[in-house]
Amino acid sequence: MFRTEQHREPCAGRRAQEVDVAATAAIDAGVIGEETETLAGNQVRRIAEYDFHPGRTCAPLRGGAHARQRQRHEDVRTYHESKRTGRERFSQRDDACPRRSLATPPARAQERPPRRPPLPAAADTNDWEAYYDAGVEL
Amino acid sequence: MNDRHQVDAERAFYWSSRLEPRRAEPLFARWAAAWARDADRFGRYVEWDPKKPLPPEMLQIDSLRYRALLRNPLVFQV
Repeated sequence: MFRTEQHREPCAGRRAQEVDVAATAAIDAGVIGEETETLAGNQVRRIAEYDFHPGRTCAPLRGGAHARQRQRHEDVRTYHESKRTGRERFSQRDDACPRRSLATPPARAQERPPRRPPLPAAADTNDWEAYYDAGVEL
Repeated sequence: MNDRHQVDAERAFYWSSRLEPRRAEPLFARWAAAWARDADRFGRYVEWDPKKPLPPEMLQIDSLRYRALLRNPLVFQV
């Protein structure tokens, strides 16, 4: 490996030698950290148009504009679906489990909060411990 | 503790948890007070078929303990 250039090997430094290790290809430093599944150029352009075009629903659509807009919606939907994190997927699955759901039923959510129970005169009515102690003493 | 006191205790714990939503103790106390207020309802909850969805009132009470344990898994539970 570390040796001088021998005859009939004009470019010894650039050739991989046949030893018992895998040949390492040179990797450009700019490639490190890129996504493995990058989007095609036209998809990126469509998503950018969808997210940053302010007046896409204001102007009337003509001709193939409907088809193009439908394609944009489809691209954005598939893009965001693929970017969902595992936590988001877990939370959706957790909502399906009724015993662990944190969702308040709509009928109960519309109810008014109960009246505040009376506290001793010296108690602070904005202190949670005052109400907690009152509840424990009852 | 009679029913009236149980209702007052539940209200006190409600406001306690509302004033300090980060604490687990008021939520757990609400859970305990809500079940203690109606022993028949607690009996139906214990014997409920887990394959069937809970009624909304039981679901709301059931989630109180879950929310308390999310905030503090070591909350005092006696």
